[in-house]
Parts: sequence; structure tokens; C-alpha cells
Amino acid sequence: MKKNYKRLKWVVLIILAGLIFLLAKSASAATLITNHRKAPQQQITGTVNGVDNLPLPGVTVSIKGQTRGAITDFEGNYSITASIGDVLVFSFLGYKKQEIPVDDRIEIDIQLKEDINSLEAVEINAGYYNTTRRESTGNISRITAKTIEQQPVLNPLAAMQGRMPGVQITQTTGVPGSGFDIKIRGTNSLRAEGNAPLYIIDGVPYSSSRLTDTNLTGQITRQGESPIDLINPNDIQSIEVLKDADATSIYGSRGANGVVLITTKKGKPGKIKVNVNASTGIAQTANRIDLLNTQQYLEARREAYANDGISEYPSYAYDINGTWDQDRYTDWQKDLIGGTAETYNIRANVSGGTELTNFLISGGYLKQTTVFPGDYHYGKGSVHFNFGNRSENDKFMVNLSGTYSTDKNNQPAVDFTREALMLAPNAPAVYNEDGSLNWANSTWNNPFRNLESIYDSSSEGFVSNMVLDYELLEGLHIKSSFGYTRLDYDELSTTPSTTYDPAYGLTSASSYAFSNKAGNHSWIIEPQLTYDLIFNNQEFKFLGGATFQEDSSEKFVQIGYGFPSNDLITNIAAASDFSIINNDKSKYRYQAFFGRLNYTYDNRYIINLTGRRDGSSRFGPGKRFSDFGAIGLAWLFGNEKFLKDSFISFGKLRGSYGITGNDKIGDYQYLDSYTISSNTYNGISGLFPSRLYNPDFSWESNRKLELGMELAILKNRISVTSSFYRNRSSNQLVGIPLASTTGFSSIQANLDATVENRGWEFEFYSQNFQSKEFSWNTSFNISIPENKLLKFPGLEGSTYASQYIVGEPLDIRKAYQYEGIDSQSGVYTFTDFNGDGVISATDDRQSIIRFNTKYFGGITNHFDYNSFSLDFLFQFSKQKGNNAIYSMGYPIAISNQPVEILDRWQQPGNMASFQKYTSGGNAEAVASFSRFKRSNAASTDASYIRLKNISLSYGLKAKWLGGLTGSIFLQGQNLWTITKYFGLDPETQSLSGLPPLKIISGGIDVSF
Amino acid sequence: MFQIIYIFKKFNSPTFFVRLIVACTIATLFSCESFVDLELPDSQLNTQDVFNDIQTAEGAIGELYSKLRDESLLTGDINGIGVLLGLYSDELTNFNPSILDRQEFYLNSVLPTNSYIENWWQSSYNLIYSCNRAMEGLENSSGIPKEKRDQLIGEVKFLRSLLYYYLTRIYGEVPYTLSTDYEQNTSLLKTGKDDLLAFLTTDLLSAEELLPQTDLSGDRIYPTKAAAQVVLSRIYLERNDPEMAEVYTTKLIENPEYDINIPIETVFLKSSPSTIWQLKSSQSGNNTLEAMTYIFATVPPPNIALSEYLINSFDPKDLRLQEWVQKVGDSTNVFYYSYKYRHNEPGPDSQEYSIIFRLSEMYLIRAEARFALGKKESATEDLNIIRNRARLGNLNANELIKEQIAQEWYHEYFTEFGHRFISLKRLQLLDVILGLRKAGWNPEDKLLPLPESDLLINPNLEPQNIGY
Repeated sequence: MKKNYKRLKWVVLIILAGLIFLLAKSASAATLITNHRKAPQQQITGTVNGVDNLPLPGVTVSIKGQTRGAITDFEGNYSITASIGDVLVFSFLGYKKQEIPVDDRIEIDIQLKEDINSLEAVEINAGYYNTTRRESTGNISRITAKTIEQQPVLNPLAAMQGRMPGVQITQTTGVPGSGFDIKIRGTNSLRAEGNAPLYIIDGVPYSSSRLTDTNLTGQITRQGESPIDLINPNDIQSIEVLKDADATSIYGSRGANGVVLITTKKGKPGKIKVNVNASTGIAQTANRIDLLNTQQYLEARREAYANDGISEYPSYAYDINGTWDQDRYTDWQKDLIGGTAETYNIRANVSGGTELTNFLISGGYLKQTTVFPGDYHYGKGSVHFNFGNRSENDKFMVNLSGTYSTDKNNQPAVDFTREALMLAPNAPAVYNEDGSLNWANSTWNNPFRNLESIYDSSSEGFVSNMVLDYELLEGLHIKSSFGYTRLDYDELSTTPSTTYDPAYGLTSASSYAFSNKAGNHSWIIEPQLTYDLIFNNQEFKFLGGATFQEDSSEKFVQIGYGFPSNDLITNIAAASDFSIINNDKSKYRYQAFFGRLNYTYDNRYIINLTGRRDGSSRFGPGKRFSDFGAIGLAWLFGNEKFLKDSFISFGKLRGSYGITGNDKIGDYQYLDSYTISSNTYNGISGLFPSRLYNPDFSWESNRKLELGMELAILKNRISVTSSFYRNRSSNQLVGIPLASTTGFSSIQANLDATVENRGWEFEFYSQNFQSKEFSWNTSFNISIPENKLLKFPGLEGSTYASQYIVGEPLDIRKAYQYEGIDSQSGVYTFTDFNGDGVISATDDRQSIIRFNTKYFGGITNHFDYNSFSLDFLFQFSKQKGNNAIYSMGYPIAISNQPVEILDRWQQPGNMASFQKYTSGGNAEAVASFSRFKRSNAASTDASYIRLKNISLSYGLKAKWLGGLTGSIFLQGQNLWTITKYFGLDPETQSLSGLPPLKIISGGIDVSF
Repeated sequence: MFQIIYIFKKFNSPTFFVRLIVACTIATLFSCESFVDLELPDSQLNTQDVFNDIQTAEGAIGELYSKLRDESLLTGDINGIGVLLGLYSDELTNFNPSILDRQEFYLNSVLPTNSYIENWWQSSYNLIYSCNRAMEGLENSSGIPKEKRDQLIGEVKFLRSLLYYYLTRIYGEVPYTLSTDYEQNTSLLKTGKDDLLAFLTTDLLSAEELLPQTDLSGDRIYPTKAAAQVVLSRIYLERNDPEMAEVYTTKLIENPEYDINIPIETVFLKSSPSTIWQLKSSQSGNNTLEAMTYIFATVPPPNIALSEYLINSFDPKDLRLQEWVQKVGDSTNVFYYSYKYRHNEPGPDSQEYSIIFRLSEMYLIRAEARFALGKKESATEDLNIIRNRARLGNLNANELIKEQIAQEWYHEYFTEFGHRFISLKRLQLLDVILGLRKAGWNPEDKLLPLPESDLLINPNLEPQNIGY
């Protein structure tokens, strides 16, 4: 391999030397061209109109053969200098290009015609190259700023929900900063951390690994914020998701789980334009659960004690023994998670440019307050810029972009949701009359104690990229991109002594606080050569390049105990005792060569070859480099002669097959090393062997197969895209189980286990109605995924034995099989699979619950009526999930319960859905309830249809506004959910996390 | 902003940028081979470097003592053999049946899936791996003076033998490996008892030679020649070689550094002259895990208490009953705990360390060895030295029976690393004594089961011990 590299190096050097030579020649030639100008020139003006004779702003007017150009203004007017004999070219996206000779005219008005094939002509970002929907041989889904901006969301991933087939996005909790899980075509890796996609922002890889620490975030934002959450959705022009081998193989080892490409906004040539958008709204928890009221609750409690044969209520049963008011009722869901949060969103940008230079500068700020009691908020601000410049001879191009984002999250350290559901409805008042917290003589844990503890985080991210491009010969470009990203996280979580009952007599000496400071920075350089060649009806596109990337991370988590005063708790340095929980530094280097060869014959047949040779520092010597590649084919049968004038306006069959890899395994795993321990013996710091030493493990590989058909009929009024895919992940990098006599229970190595994800994806679009005043179109997407563990040698003896079954999806749980309630004893019964008379965890959990999603998708309808436009998205998912039983306490201890438990067994012969109540005194009932929670009865259908987004806007476009255009709008998110799910929310499926928020917001958008 | 545009215009000379790109490309191409080869992070050290430096080599060995104290089967907390073999025999009573794995020990119905069975096995072999890794490192070490290197090799050999000794006492035949090769170690066969004890003897003799006479730290917290001699004498006894056991115990008993005749309440203090080897606590001011485990203040006991058999078997005059046992409760409900270690909370200075070996054992082993050799007279003398220190009268040499030796082990070593169980097993009294006292006892319980998890992965470990 070393040899190969040497040879390759020389080849590249020879090419480069040749290029330098050519460059000198072409540079002098270039000067000649720029000096060569025609005379005499004259000013030409005119108006460009579109359909219905309405003026078209933003149309590019250029002179054929030259690069000079102009842009029409808001009235459709343009002005350009040209000579007699020049030809003006008018082009605008969605319209047919027109060429008009100047002759001796000084005023040229023109009406452009709509291009029905424009849908296929939209440029799509495929990462290293651009393609169009027509020419693409791969599977790429896309949303643009227009869709993102009509959703009042904080997070870019939230804007993608329900809009892309094959891309499944779920919210973890409704607390801002808690992030989203994204799965592109299912779970590929057996390692949970090995399933994140690759994020690329303007060509720069962006970290997907969380820098937050669960010691701090665990009870509020769960896993914490992912770096992608930091990006302000307002800065995004488009998000493309690359799914199949043809699209992802050029990303080699990092493409196995799909690639998410984020392109930020760019300026357009033309007059300087200012756009301001401001909105504000309110948000509330989307769902709640019906709980017992005080009367039902107390009756249930009494029945529980009666069932247990206890007539005298124990001293700690404050709810029924008379300590607490028996008539009091508090709706804790209303008090703890029922608040109304406010949302604010403002963004402004200035953009414009000349024919050679364009720029955009934007800034934005988003804020959301809380539905919890107390004064919490999440804020995110960003500044973004983009400058582009091309030389007069059109040979040289430079583009520079940068985005700085920062967010501050201030939340309670503990989510209130769990207590909102668990507190007895007759629990005491929160505050005493004097305004202090009411601890009711130490009979309860006042939920408002959590207001004393805080979770505070502030993070900053900076992504920048510069692209330099020079056209050496016609069609031959040499270019390079230079990228840099930096992320900084600073988190603090406090637990002051005041969160405890004062009866314990704790002082600030018992207070503690965690802090986490983490950072990541990376740079990337990607030199590239591209060459496009067209002759006759053949078209060649070549791309070759190299990547050099370095990524460094560091993390420092510590806890401080005991503070002189609780006022000092936010300053860990004031603590009397510290302990370092984590102090990690790691570095990752990555290097690759990649290429693409694309050949189109007669606009009908396309072949696309992509490949990459990758090297990663995560593997040992000799295992660092690997090759990945794919072939994509497309047949544009709609362009065949026999269909030329038929009702089929566009038709394409495509397929691809290739290999991508996965190296998300953490750094340094191959090294033979000792790690510094937290132990000391006699004052000497300990060291222990880090792991079993295996330098021989290598990449996980993912073979992707895809077949697709794209069809549009009736002048593109109806279009359908269907894809079938089958991805097989093998060579799984896991801890292979070993006998403990090796000193360890496993070794990091490639296991011959295979996971298959296969499925169908359909997209459907139709223009239902189209007239001058009114138009209506519908788009629909659905994905039917299937996930299966095909092979896992040695599963039985491994630590994975209780988790996976060969032939089943990865997302399963082995559970007891619920058999109903014993009508005599009134307790739950379960199947005794091995017939030994005992229900045991090892042998009787044979019922398999499959949590994999059956199908999911979304349907969007868009209406335009004069200046009104209405857009709504229903998102749906067919799935199984944990229901409320899975996380609730046994009915009925001193804790509220869903009303469903009223249907319980009371006396022999009863048929009911819940067993007889117990206060905890009936050991058999308690044990059977704990099995019930681990049985198939604890999971139910968690399917749902949700009105994910609705957006209504009214366009302001009137003469009296002068040059002002804009709109006023009303938007809603998560407004309505249809589900039969038993629990709080079918998406988050948790009783301890805040459900997603429903948001209504209104605002105005103005441009001038 | 227009300035920036101006700068762009100024740089419109294309050659400038092309040269820049070309230069970058060439520079990066030249560096690519070594580009993905990274140095170690700050928190990790290359294995061979660890053993080329005294400080880090000592750190690697010191970690073994910390682990032995906190995480191994010798830990003084509730997961160690002190508690669990105490419950398994007749030293302790369980008051917390809800922890099923512990209750299995108490009821003598331990299953192969028992978590303690798995953890002892795993942690022991993890430490053995570390020992083997350290041996490889030390043997190839270049940066450490020979004297120090020999001492560290001695410590490693000693520790490894000690772990194997306990493994074979608990599980019977176990695999023996000196390698770090996981491919070989994952499918090991069991080593026969005689072979294993022979290997251990060789290693310990070598350790005895390499280890220093005295621990220079002054705290007896590192093993010395004497520590190796303790294990050697145990192993000679197991190998039915009482002559050598007598030789080795005598070596120690005659060693002037150690003294048996000290007040009974000072035996477990960290400066006790009867201590041969102890493990220093994790932080200065901390005391032992044992004290935290055994001492309780409320009734009924939260977890465990000394058994009635133990309390009733003491002569009320026995100083060990008076000093090493503490009573809690009222007149109707009395419970006892082991009060050998008395400091269950940290203080300004550590008072007690966890003592692994103390001199009394040498008298007891020598008594056993001499008894086996038919030297009843001298055997009784050894026992009497232990008894007299507890203010008990002499035994009659002519009537000496092995039950009396067992009884002395019981009273001297209760709640210490399963000495009771191990001595009853060696004296072949398990069925006689535990058969009467423990309802769940059966003769096959003398060995505990091999862990199920390892049997599944390594079928070479078959057969499972009889009775499981």
C-alpha cells in the first residue's frame, strides 16, 4: 500500500507540474480576452414579464459570450450596456431561457415562458459536486429555506420531520436543547454511537458527537445538545440528505449512515436588498394524560389498604391518614408543566452584489421561555456571512462563508414532568402564606424545590469555509476548499442544600455542583480538480480530489462539594472539595483521495462512478486505509423518441450499488497502552491496561443497493418517485465476547455479524388545481423500513444475548408474556415458558416486542389563493412503543395514576385490565406488577398522526407600498395529534420527559 | 464590507491563487503517509514506556493493590469473600434476604449465574492479566535499575500466585495462564490441582528471592519475603507437605520483625507488629472497608451479623470475644458484629489498614503441619501461644484433635477472608460441622460453581463442578 501511495504521489505531481505550465499560458491568454472589448456601446433598458404579464424580479440578463450581466428589479426593469450585434440572454429559474439580439434597439421588453421541466432542473447539492434531479443517479432528499422558514422551530432537524422519505427524526423531550434522534434508513451498527450520519455544513464536516455530559444533562435535556442543535435554522438555504451508495460512497468511511448536507444562504447579484422577518408566539405542552382526581385517588388508596388487610393506615400514608387535606385537589400537570412559553424569532439579512461580487450578511435570534414554573429560557443567536467574487475573465472564483452561532440554555436541573404525573392529587400547597416553600412538616418533597437547582449551558460554534476555484482550460477547474470549525461548551448544574427539606438541617456545606467544559476544533483542506467535457451528444464530468482533516476534542468534567455559601455555587472554584470526573483529550486525523466520473450519452443514459480511498487514525498500522466506491446508472426513458410526445413528461429508472464504511468507534482503540487511574496507592497514581490490545480491527462496511423510478406525467402535474433499498452492514465493530480468563469480557474487533435494512420509499406530488387565482398541490411521502439482524456468530454466549435475536430487528425487547388476571387471586399471570412452575427472568422472557417502525411519512397540502397561501403537513408513524405501564408505579402507592387503572380486579370472578390494588403490603401483587411492567402488556401501539406544521401567509405586494414587499404570516407546530397511545406522548414515549410543545406564532416578513 | 470586495478585486491576479492551491496540495501530499499516525493522548501511556520508568512502573503495580483492596475477592466490603464465605459457612447470619445473590450464599444454594461468582472470577483474571502484562513489560524493561526491577517482578509473581491460590480454594481446578494472548486465554483448559500448586510454588520461591526483607515504606503495605513465605506455607499445607510448611512458618515465627505477644485490642491497628502485609487505605484519613461493612448501630441488622454459633462457641473469658466482638440491641434482641476493625469513619489520620496477613496464621498453620506429622506436643504449644494471648488456658497435648485446631482458626480468624471455610475444608471438617449447622449444606458445596457466562464462551472449562 505504501508503494501505491508513492506512485500516486508522483502521478499527482506530474499532473500538477503540467497544470502550472498550462496556467502560465492561460493566464496570459486571459489577459488578452479581458482587453478585447467591442465598441461602440449603448445603454439598453427594458421590462421582463412572466406569466399573466406580471413583472419578474431577479431575472438574470447577460450578454452571450460575456460574463457581464444585470438583474431585474422588483418592477422587472433592467438596464445593461451592450453593443450592436450582441445577444441578450434572459434566464430565470423555472422559466425557459430566451436569447434576443440587440440590433440597434435601446429598449427591449420581453415575456418569459414557464419551463415545465424546471422541477428537474433544480440544482441539488451532492457534496463534492452539484447535480439536478434530472441527472442524478442517486437518492437525495431535499428541503429548502422556504419550508424551513414556515416552521416555528428551534432546531434544523425539527424542520425535516415528516418531509423526507427514509429519514426518521424523533424528538427526545420537549425541553429546549434536548435534541433529536436522526436515523437515515434505519439502524446499521450494533453500537448505539455508531449510527449518527455525517453532517457537512458548506463543505466542512461538522461534529455529531455530543460534548455535553450526562452527569449534568441527564435529568433535564437527557443526552444533552448535539452540535447540530446549535445551528440556527434561519441561516440555512437547503438541507440535502444523501441516502444511497451512489450519493454517499464519495464520503467513503463516513457515509454508512447517510450524509446530511447543510448549505447556508448566499447573496444574489442585484441591488442591495434588505429582508427582515420577525415573529412571536406561544407554546404549550402538546399532550397530557388523564389522572385520577382526589376522590378517585383516595378511594383507590383505601381499597389498596383494604386489599392488603391493613385497617390502620401507617404513619407515612399522609395522603389518607388525615395528615393532608382530603378535599384538596391540585392539577399538577397544569401547575408543573402546563405553563405557556413565549417564543421570539427575528432575523435580518442584507444581500446584493454586482455582476462579479455578491454578498450576504445575516443575523438572527431565537428565544423560547418555559412551560415549567419559574423563569427559564433558551436563546440562540447567529451571525452569518457569505462573500463571492469572480474575476472579470470569469476564470477565477472565490467564495468565503462563515457562521457563528451561540446558544444559552437556562433550565431547572430536573425536568418537572415526572413529578407532575406522580404527585398525589391532594398533596399540600406549594407555598406557605408567607411565600416560603411549604414542606408540610416533612411529609412531602415539594416539587418547587427544583426551582433552586439550575442547569445552565452556553455553547458557541463557528463554521467557516473558503473555496478557491480557477479555470485552467475550458472545462478544467482546479480548486480547493479550506474549512475550519470550532465548538465550545460550558455547562453547569447545581444542587444547592436548599433543594432539600430544611428539617434535615443541611447547609451549603452539602451543596454540590457539576461543571463541564468541552471543546472541539477541526480543520479540513480539500484540493480538487474537475473537468467537464461536452462533444456532440456526450458529456463527461470528472472530479478528483484529496481530503486532509484533523479533529481535536477535549472535555473536563468536575464536581465541587461544599460551598461557603449557596450564592457561590455557580463558581466551582469556591467549593471546599473537588473531584475530576473526566479529563479527556483526543485527536482524530483523516485523509482520503476521492473521485467521480460521470458520463451522459444523449441525455438518455447516465453512468456515475464514485470512489474514495480513506485513511483514519482510529485504526492500527496496516489497517488504516480502505477503499470504498459505487456505481450509479440512470436511464432517462422519458427522453426516448417513442415517449417524446406522450403524456409522460419525465421518466427515469436508476440504480446504484456500492460500499461505504463506518469508523465511529472512538479514538485510540487500537493502541497498546496504559490509562491513568483515579486510584493512588501510597501516593503514587495508578495505571491500568487500557484494553486488550488488538491492532487488527478495521472498518465496518455497509453495502448499499438501490433501485428507483421517477415518473412525471401530464406536463409534470403528477409525479411519483419510488425507491427500493437494501443496505447490509457487516464486519461490525463490536466488543467480541471473550472468556474472562483473558482478563476482559470482550475485545474491540470486527465481528462477522450482519445487519440488514431494507425498505421502500415513495414520494408523490400532484398539482390538483391550477388557475390564475387559486392553486392547490399535494405532496406525500411514505417509507416502509425493515430492519433485521441477519447473522451474529456466538450471540448465545455473549453479553448481547439478552438484547438481540438473529432474524429479528435490533430494536426488540424480550418480555414476559402476559396471560391475564387470575380471576381468583386477582393478580397478573404470565406464561411459564419452561414449565418449571417459576416465572424467572432468564427463562420466561420469551415474548418478543418489536419496536421498529412499520411505516412513517408525511403529507403536505399547499394552497394559493390570490395573495394568500396555506400550507399544512400531517406527519404519521406506525409503530409500537412503551406505554404508561412501563414506567409507572404499582397501583396504588402514594402516587397518582392514569384513570385507566379504575378498571381493576375487585373480587373473585372479576374480569379487568388491572390487577387488584395494593399499597405495597401484598408481596405477590407487587412482584407480579414488576413483571407486568416487563411484559408485553407494557407496550402498545404508539402510532400517531400529527398536524406537524401549518402555515398561513398573506403576501404584501402593492403599488402603495413602494418598493416594499413582504408578507404577514401565522404558523403552528404540533397543533393536533391523533393517537390511541396509552401514555403521555407517542413520539417521546416517556413519563419523565416533557412532551413536545405545540407552538403558534405570528409575524411579518419585509423586504426592500 | 466594500473594502473586502476591494481586496478580492486586488487579488484577482489568478496566478497568485493557483500557486497557493498548488503549494497546499503538494505540501499535503508529501505528508500523507504519516498524517494519520497519531501520538498518544495525555491520559494514556504506551505500555512499554510504562515499564521503562520507575515512577510509572510503580503506578502500574500500585494500581493492583488498590484494585485488590476495593474490587477483588479480597475486598473488605460486602462483595468480598470475608462476608460471603462467612455467610456460606457458620460465621455470619444474613438479615437482608432481598439481595438474592447474597442469600444464595447464606442458603448454600449458589447458582452458576450468581453475580459474585462471576465477579470474583472476572476481577481475579483481570488482575492476573495485569500481572502478566506487567511481567512482559518488566522483563523487557530497560530504564529501571535491576534491584528495583527485581523487586517489582517479585511483587507481581507474589500477587499472581495469591490470586490463583484463592481461585483454586473457591472454584477447585481453574485455568492457569502466564500469557496475555487473548486468543490463547479465551479457550484455556483447566489445570490440575497438583500442577497448579507446583507452578505456584515455583513462582513464590522466586518471589521470595526477589522481594526485600523489609518494606522500606515502614507501613508494611508492600509485600516482602515474609509475605511470600505466608503463601508458600499455605500451599505446602495444601500439597500435603507438612515438613516444608513447618520450615516456612518457623522462618517467619523466628523473624524478629514480627511479634505475636501484643495486646489483643492493638492487633488490627495499622502499626501492629504482628502484621505481615496490609493494604493502605485509598486516601489518608480513610480507614478500612471492613469496619464500614461489619459495624452497625441499629437493630435488626441492616445486612449481616455474627452468627449465634460463633458467639456461643466462645469461652466467655476469651479476650477475642470481649475485644473483637461488639453487641447491639436490647435485652430481647441482641446482635453481634465483628469489631476487629473499629474505625468505620474517616478521621484526620488513618488508624487501621486492611490486614491481609498477620503472624497468628503462622502458628495455626504450623500447629496443623505438626499435627499432621504426629508432633502433638509442639502443635499444642503453637495453639497455646494463640490461646494464652487471649487469656485462655492450655490445651492437653495428648487429647489434641483436629476439631480443636479448627476451633482456634474459627476464633482467631472469623470474618477474615474465608479462613473459616478454607480451614474446615483443609481439615476435612466441612460436612461434619456445616452439615449440622446449615440446612442447605451438602458435601458437593465444598466447591463453588464455575461462572456460567464463561462456560458458555469457553467450552474447554467443562465439566462444571459436581453438583451444579
